[in-house]
Amino acid sequence: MDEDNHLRKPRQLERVCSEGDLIIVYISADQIKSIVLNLDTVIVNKYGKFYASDLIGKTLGRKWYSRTVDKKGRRGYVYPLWPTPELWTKSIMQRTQLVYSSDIGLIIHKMGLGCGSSVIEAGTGSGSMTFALATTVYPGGHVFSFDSNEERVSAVKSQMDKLYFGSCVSFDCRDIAEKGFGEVGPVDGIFLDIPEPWLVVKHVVDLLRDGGTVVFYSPCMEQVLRTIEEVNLFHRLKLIQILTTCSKPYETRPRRVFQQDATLLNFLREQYPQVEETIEETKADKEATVMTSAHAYRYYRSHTAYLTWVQKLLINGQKDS
Amino acid sequence: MAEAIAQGDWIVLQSISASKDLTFVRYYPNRTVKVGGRKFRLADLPGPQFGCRVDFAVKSQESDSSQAQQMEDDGYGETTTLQTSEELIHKEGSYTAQDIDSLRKAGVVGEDLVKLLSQKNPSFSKLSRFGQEKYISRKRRKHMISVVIQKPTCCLLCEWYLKKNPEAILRLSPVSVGLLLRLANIVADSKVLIFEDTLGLLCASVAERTQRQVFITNIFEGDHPPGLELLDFFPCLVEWRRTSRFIVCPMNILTQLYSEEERDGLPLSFRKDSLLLSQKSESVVAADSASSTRDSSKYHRPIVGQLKRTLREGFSSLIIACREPTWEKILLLISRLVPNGSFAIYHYSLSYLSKLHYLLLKCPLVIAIQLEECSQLEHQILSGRSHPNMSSLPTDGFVLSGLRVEVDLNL
Repeated sequence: MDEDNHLRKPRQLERVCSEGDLIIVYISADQIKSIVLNLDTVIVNKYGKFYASDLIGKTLGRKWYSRTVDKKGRRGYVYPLWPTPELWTKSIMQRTQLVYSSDIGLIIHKMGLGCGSSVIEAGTGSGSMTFALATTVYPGGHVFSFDSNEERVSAVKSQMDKLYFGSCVSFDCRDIAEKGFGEVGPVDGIFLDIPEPWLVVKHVVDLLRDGGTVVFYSPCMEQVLRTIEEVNLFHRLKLIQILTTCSKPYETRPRRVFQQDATLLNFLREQYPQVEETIEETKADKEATVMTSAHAYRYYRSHTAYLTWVQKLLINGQKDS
Repeated sequence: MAEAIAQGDWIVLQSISASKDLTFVRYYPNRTVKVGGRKFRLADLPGPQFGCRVDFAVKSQESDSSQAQQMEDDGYGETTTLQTSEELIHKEGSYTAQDIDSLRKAGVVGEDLVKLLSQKNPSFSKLSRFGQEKYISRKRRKHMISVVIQKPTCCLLCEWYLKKNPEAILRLSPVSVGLLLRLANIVADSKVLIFEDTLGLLCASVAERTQRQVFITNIFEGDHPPGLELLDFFPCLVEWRRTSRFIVCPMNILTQLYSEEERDGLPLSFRKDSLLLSQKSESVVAADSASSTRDSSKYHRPIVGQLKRTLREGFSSLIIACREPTWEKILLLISRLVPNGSFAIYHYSLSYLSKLHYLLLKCPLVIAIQLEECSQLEHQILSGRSHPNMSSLPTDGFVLSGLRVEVDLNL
């Protein structure tokens, strides 16, 4: 473990920026970026020119003003923020299919991972899951991350170092279907986001602790069916559940409520005296002329992947049965 | 992960069938439990360990007594039974209910009985592979009990309550709890403010995630601390909640952070308001103060001045899951977050959160506000075929999240 890196992780409640930090810049709801703070770093956007040197030594979560002014003489601002797993997922450049919040949340919660857990992640990809796992198992735990693409591995490794989690993540660039996971000890959980997960089931049996869980993250049902056929060959692996999650974003808008139509109300009262009470209730509601209404976004991510949960069991207490 | 189970430990018996029934029970060998509609004794668990799968054959109700009787009988009786079972095994055609009962009495139970039934069923070979698997799984459900002994986790507890008493945990599901923990950025050494109405499920989940390396302040309304019954399922949390890492704190202290300094040297008291007590009869007062003392002994009682200092320092995360908290209370709690702190608010009603969402969009204290609905769908899988479950929860609730930022007074 890199002790120096371990010690550098900031622990205070209010984070202060220092040179070399990787931070998140919140420009707007759909523009969230990550930058490394160097003295010569300058970011330019529609709100102006922002110099990193203005930020170093200051607390995060406060407005970062531009040095330039707009036509009306106002200085634009953005928010510098400390990276949380959620902000990180929103900010990273998409190199592969991402694992999104609702999936990550459920996977970590259902696997029972926490500080001190050890976990294998196969398919480093963009590092969205890697960072979430690292923040979960820190301190005392470890994430073993595997990917076959060297470029992706080195990019995520460098980011994890800058995020001060380099000490609790090991990266390995290898073809796990062919070579297995190498010299990794028994782990509490395994997360597999690879195109052919059925090829690594045999390695999973050896690596998982008794009672541990493996999650196969497969976008296609064909992958799931093939994986289950392979899982069924191993007596000690038991299929627990297959789930898909969905996170539907909503937007709220104010909605003006029109005044009641007196003529229509009188007509209703005469024709249907039994609705008198209902009319009175709606009258009370209409006193507020503006209501909010929530609409689901027109398009959203309705399918991410099938999460296949498999547990390694002890059979009737006999380890070798 | 595989650990031996000691007497008195909470264990979860998870049925391996489509229903996936959960049974939470304290482990005492002489106790009888019911799983999947069938009873069995915990003493039958062989050297129980967490993560262990146990298969029980469903025996005939009369088998125990008849076997005992046979032991007393002479050799002639035994031979008769054996011949009967042999005859039945080699019998042509399918079995009747009486035959199956005779086989059970003769000791052909569990997996052996399931195999025999599928062999003797004349239409079994004509079924597709999918149909055969379905037939076998149906017979297994009938003639066997298969359970996995699981260690209690917050996720299993949440699933159990969601089936048994969803209103008690405000219909929180594992997917919504997982999302709340992620959006509130729960990590080791966080200072977490929790305002919940879910029997302590969220406090337990945060403690489980961080392995108790966290500072939790549980805010409650009124004078009496909440029961937080679900913490009792985890022996390590029972002791932990008496440490300074877990504080229960009445909501009204948040409005007295810079006033009422005369009480700062005293330990936090959970006693009921004297005016309130005087309105009640003596017996009610006695019962209330007894329960108040009992509950308050469950928690650490910090000095009021220290508590105020902790509250003034602020929190890095905030989780709210209450029935109908007012907007003012929510804003008060959000204001206790440090700049860059994350919050996540759960509610099962969209209309409630949409109003709050609209209010917070205009609030300068917060940014990155998002309102989302989370849901999960389970799929049934058998060889070569799959489909989603025919019925499921309509929604797993709504989560409103965001980040606290510092207000710039110069602008």
